[in-house]
Amino acid sequence: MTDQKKEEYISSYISKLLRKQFGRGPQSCQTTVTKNHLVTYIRGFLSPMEDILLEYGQNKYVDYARNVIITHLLDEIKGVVQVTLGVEAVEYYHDWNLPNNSGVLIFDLDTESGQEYNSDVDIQRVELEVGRISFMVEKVPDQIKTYPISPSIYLIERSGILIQIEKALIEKGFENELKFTKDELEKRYFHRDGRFEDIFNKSVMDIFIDWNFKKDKSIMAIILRA
Amino acid sequence: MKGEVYIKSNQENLVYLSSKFSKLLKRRFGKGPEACNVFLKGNRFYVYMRQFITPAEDVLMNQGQLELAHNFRSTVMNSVTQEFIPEVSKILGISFDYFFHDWNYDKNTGILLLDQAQSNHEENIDNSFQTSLFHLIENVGSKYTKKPASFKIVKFTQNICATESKDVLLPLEKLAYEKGNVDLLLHHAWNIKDGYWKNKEQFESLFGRLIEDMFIMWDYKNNRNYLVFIFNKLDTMK
Repeated sequence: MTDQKKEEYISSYISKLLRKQFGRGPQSCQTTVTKNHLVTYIRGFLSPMEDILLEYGQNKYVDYARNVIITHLLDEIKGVVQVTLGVEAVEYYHDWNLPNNSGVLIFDLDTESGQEYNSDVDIQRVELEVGRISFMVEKVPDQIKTYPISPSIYLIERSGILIQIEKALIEKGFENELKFTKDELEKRYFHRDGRFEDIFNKSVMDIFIDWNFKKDKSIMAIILRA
Repeated sequence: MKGEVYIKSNQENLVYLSSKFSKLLKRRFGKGPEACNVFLKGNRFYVYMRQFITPAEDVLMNQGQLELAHNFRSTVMNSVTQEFIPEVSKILGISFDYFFHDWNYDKNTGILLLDQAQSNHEENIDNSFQTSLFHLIENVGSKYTKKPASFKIVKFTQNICATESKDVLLPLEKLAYEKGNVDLLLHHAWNIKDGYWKNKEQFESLFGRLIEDMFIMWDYKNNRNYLVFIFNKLDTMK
């Protein structure tokens, strides 16, 4: 199988899995593998049940339930990635933007698999901007790394992001509430105050953020209009 | 003859409504129930469902998120039922003011009841039996909930017995309802149902029938509940 065929196979598998689990498959599901990352960008994912819940303003239920279900599916997807690409997914992240009806799955691979994408974007500017916004919300991360995936997908990894009060909340078992709150807060700032359109010279379609609280890090996916 | 024609057409209406509701559930949940039986008694319309659990709920349950699955289902069911009621009213010529539902995730069964504010139908059955059942419900329930002020059997056939109890809430339950502590009331309701289920044999010996399923639907607003027993179709007790 060519690299492109492998990506298509993984996309199709994820699409079918989501249909089986949620009663409706996504409208589109596109997988890109670049070096040590696999990114699947999903559009039109909301199931009929979730549509109703959102109508009733129950965003939190949708968020929590989808989180539980996807976390359960990720192990299976991880297995498919392993079999298809012959590499292991060591970490995974996911995030869903309900207003845009779009979502992303991100896997860190233990071995380089896809082609490298050489971006002509000023990466230092991207990282300075991410640091600036992170500081507005909370603190400048200890470390920021950018991984260009394709002309329309950039991953930004932030490490050393949690402050003491957050660590205490996580210890007390408020991980879900913290994630839900941080998600809303950070995205609002990144969308409203981020100068990413100027830096990338393209309009921003989506910003996804997920966290690994245990490792005190976060991964962000910026999706640009192709 | 006229009566026969009416019964047949009414039966057809019920079959149509059962199929209609099943399709609605499938459209909204992505999966409909395997069986969907409807009953009508007076101005109360019951739907008994088997195998309702969707793959998404299955995952939530296996991950120990029963409360989340229940809240998910409740919200969707409220929307589906509001969509269904006008159709039932049109077909049966009955208006409905309230609806309640209850789900047994362990047995994969659920019940929906459409009710009218003026519903005053009660089964005309042996008074001593009704008294015995009331006492049993009082005794079994006393460990878990308040003694009801009044009680009546509102449906009783070979398949189902439904009872309505009024003035069933403790002050603390009323307060929890007023404060919107839905999750607390939900866990409490599960606990009460478990209590009744543990005493199933006592009810079985009173009914002389094996009990396959049991539901309690709470009307917190009007301080009452419906307790529904579903009997095993195949077995009767000797």
